Amino acid sequence: MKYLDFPSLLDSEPANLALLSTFNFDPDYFERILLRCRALSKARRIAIFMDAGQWMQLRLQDTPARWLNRRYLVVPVRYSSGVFHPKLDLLIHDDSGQVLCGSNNLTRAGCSHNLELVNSIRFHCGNGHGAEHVALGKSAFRFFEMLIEHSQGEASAVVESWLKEEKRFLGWTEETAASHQNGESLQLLHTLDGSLWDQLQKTIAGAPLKRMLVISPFYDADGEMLKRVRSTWPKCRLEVIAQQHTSDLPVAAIEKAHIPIELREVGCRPRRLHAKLLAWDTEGTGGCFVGSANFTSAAWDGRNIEACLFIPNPKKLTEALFDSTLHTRSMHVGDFVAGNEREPQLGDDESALLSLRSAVLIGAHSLQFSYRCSAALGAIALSITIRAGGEPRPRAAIGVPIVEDGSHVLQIEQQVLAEIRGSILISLLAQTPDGERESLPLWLIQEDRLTYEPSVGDSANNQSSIVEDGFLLPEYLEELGKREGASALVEFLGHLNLHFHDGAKGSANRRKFRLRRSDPFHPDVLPEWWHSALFAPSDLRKAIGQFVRRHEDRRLKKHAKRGNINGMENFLDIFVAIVRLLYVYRKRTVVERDTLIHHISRCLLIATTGIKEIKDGSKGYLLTLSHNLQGNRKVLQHFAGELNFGGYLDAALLIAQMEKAPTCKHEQPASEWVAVDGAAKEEKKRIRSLLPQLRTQLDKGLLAAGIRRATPKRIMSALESFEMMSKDDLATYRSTLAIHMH
Amino acid sequence: MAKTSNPNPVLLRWSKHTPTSKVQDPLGTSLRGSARLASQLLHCITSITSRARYFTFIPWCVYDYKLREQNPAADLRKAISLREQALTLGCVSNHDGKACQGGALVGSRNAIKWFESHRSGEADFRRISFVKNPALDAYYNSLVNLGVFVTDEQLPDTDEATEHTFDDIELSALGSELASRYDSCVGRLKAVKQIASSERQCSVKSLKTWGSRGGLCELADPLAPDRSLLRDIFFCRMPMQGESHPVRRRSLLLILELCRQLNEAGCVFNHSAFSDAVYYGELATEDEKVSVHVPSALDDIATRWRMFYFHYYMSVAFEGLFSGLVSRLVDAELQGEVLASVVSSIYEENVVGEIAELFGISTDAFSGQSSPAALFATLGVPLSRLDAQVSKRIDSTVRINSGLAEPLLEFLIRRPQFRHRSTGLAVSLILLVTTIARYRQWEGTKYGNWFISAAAYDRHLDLIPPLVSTYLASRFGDWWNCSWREIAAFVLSRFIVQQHRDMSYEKSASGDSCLLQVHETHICTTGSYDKIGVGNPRFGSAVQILKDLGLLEQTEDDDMFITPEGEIFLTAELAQEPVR
Repeated sequence: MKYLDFPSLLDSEPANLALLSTFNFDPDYFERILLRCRALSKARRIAIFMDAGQWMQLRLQDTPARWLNRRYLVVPVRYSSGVFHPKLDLLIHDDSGQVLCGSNNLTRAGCSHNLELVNSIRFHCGNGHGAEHVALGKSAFRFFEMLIEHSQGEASAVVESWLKEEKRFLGWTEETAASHQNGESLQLLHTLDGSLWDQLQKTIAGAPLKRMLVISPFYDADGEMLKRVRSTWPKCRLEVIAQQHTSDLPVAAIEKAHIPIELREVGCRPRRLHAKLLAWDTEGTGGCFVGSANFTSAAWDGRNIEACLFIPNPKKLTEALFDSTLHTRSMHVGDFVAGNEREPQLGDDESALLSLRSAVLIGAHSLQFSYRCSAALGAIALSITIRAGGEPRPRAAIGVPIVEDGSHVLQIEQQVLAEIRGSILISLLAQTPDGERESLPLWLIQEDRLTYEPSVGDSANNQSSIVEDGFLLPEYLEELGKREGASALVEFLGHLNLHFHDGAKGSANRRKFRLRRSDPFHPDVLPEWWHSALFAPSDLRKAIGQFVRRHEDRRLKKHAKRGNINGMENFLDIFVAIVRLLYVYRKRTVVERDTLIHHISRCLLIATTGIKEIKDGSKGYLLTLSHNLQGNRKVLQHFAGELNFGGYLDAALLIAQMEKAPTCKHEQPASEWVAVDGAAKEEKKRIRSLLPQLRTQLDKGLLAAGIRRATPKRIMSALESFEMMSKDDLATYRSTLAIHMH
Repeated sequence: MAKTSNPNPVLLRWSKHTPTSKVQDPLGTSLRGSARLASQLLHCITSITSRARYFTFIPWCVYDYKLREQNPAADLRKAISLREQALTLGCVSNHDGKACQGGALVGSRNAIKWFESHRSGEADFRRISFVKNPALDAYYNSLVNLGVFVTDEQLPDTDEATEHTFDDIELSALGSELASRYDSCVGRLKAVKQIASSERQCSVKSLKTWGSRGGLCELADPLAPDRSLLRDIFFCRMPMQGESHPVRRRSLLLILELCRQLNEAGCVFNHSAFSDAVYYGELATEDEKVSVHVPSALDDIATRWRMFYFHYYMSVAFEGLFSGLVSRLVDAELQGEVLASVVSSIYEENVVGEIAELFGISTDAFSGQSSPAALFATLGVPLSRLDAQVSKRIDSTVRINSGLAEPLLEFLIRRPQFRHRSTGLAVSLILLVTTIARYRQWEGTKYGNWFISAAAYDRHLDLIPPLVSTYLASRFGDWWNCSWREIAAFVLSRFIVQQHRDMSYEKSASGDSCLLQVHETHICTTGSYDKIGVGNPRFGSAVQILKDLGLLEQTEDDDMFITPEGEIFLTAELAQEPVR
């Protein structure tokens, strides 16, 4: 049999909503492996239902969860009579989906090490086929709806709203599944619909059983389920496949009750058998239940929440399970060495004295949480502490009222949370006469972040297109800033290098040979992250400045030095990207006015006649171009005209002049003058005479290249193609150009 | 409308297994902590760049290629490799069929085999190949950082680097000087000219002459023309760019100075002696303690090395715990073990009894319920919270000859008979606690800050003493007075199991370098791990370079001495060194 890589089952299209369930959960594995699979990496929403006792254990550990309750929601489920144990996943797309039902938990062992049984069924509405698969999807959806009742905390409310929203858009969830529950099609069975044992008997419907095959790692200590099968179907051959040292087969109980089982040991070291299967043969037909249910009464009598898939007539499939690559051997029950691990048990709840039950971040700054601080604790003061995932110390502690049981809403100051790019851990810290006492930490539900809505297409594609031409840089930064905070923005700008190409062979797509010295010695000061230092706005300003300077020096100047006409498009791309970035962030008051004017002036000089400060004396791009093409200026004029090169240069100059203008009279920026009264008209006339030296250099460059000065129409065309100005701004620019023309 | 790629259901399929790949540095403390600190303390001297002659030979290869190469088709990389092979054979021939001592040339093993059957023949380097990866790969970065080549920053327009290839590298003034000095002793040799020709053939005899003049060991000869310049470089006796070169200089001076003092005291100088000297300021001999006086000019660098050894001992403790845990899990086979039972095994009666006997303490001091504070109280450290004062007190109490001294604990952990039993886990835990407690006094000092800044780039993955100390404080508050059992449970869970699992993803995207599998309550291992890999490999390289430069020498009994020339050099250099 060919083994199936579980993560590969998640390489389908991105899900609108991914609903996953597991007994225990390994966030590190999930984030590093499963969350990178296509179906989840760009899923709109992801919810993981897990056992509440195991959730407690997770909180007890210093678990490295970077995205928990930020990119995906964890919903703890507490079932009063037993554990939450299903391993059922539903990936929902617009009119299709995928159901995964198996024995594996969402842990490293479950997905890559244990011997597990997995099943995956894709369904697609509206093509007339596979109605039973759609019914399966609907059953799975209903299962998750039913879980809400047993879910805990704010996560429950969040996921409930998701399910309701999804249901409104998905027609298939309303289709009836009844017609497919005929014992001849795939069905999802779970204990929220009643005990599996009852459903098994209903499915078999009194047919005489010839053979029953049980694969399970866990059994009742007294062999209850084995006894029950024996008494219900006394003539049935009972085969059990187990693994020595791991399966807790109750050898003594079996021998004592004289249950005649045919035992086979599976040899698959170092893998642990964790699969659960119950298959049966009747006269001419058969079926199997495969999924999460161990062969214990807790699982089969519905004390646990379990989910299984019913597969009709599975004989060929079950026969194919064992072959030369995975074989079994018969053995005497008395010789079997059982493992000492027991079936999952109901976990403890959090300490009754001090506990944080749930916490959700509403909007950007409103923290709502419910908690308990028992009077028996004798707390003198109580505070809530906030840490970013991985931070060793809390970055903030805020006092909260001491109440026995209650909920509270806190407004968190912007700087505390603004720069956190991943999960946030909060806990209660009580000062007591005996010292400090801290509750278990909880991952704050960042509700606004849990829905992934790429605002400008696909981020990854955006990133590659940005590197190519830089045009959508401000928009991408906007998206990145919203998603991951300003620090991510600073980091991104610090590493972003727009591509350089001018058609010369080998300049593109080749790994650069670098020869640089490193100086590893660190000064005797703590790194910033040690203090969890927050980024100040000046960091973004600085990052933009460095980005612009880097691209002036390493891209535009390089074009100017080479003067290759094939690079004119790339020159313009970079030029426009710089102007757009400066303009957008000038509007947001991040970039200062003088900075914008300074950099636009530099870019214009590099584009035309060059900057005197360049030590190697290289000229501007137009001068070099005209020198290289002195024998055929027409090519240059034609190509520059086609690209509206002069229009872009004049447009950039106008932007700089408009910024310069307020120093004349008006307090407000020229771009915001709307009324064209007499005084403003005079000012606008003056605008085009500002920065005269720059105007001269621009004209000199254009003249040398034989390119005409751009008409107002061409300048407006360039301004519009920047796609960064509001209608009012454009109107102001248009009227300024018109006045000047007159 | 979305399309499904596979409409057929996948039913009853076994899940695929990801097998475990080779595990090295299972907790990442060597690569992420030790290597970072050592790279700052001994910049440009790595664990694989231990022979000083290579620092002139490789620049000379570039020089010779540009000056004499006659095969227009040969690229620089191949040309260097070719000359390296010639020198390898030359040195083997010069040592009469043996490799150089103290670190042979790359490819020596194959060269020896070849030499055995071609002692007086001709070597045709178009057909001979001793090694796939030349030494150039190992030395290249160090040479760049030492300023032997013209770097991008020195070019007028850095963008032009995009046009460059390896063939375009140029020697800097320093590189040219090194090369010409080497050339002065080998440049006129027939073999050198023949190797540069298209034929690539020369006699073994002529290669021997090359080896006798330009071999690795011959650098120690006072007449070697490149030796003084290499001293200038390694000891930063010339203007060099960056902060790291003076740090290396002081590290090398510290090695020389400690060797000198220990020679005087009649003690052996080796890695253990060096670590004891910087960590304790003293050494234990069979009869007595020998105090070391670090000159004030070297006090700063000695303290930084002390930080290195805090990390070193912490790493030994963690790897001891990892190795001990894996040993237990190997015994438990597929069944695995619950972490709580591993913790309990540390405090079983026989283990506690053995620990008490080993360290001469009462059994109460190391029971599951007692605390580190209680254990150290038996040695006279006041029962209190762990603060800088208590840390200093521990420092003054647990000296080199104490039963709880880190070197002794390390010695025990490295012994397989301890490591494979719960006693090994217990000793590792004591080593961890002792090291972290001793380190506590440095928190908030400039050395503590440097430690964090130099070694921790990721607060979750980079286990270094300051972070471990913070984690313990964050978890327990007053961890020093918590029970050993609580501490053991946390340490095993967070710093061993979780750290190893996290690190496995750092080594490969699939995370397959992981020996530990967690199954609900039980932990299993998928293989064994039977070594403590923590070390200080750069120290060995530094010592070898000092030997090559004629400043240290090793006797036939492997005792290390400072040479008379080394003493004069040291005295002169220390006089130049400002007090920090």
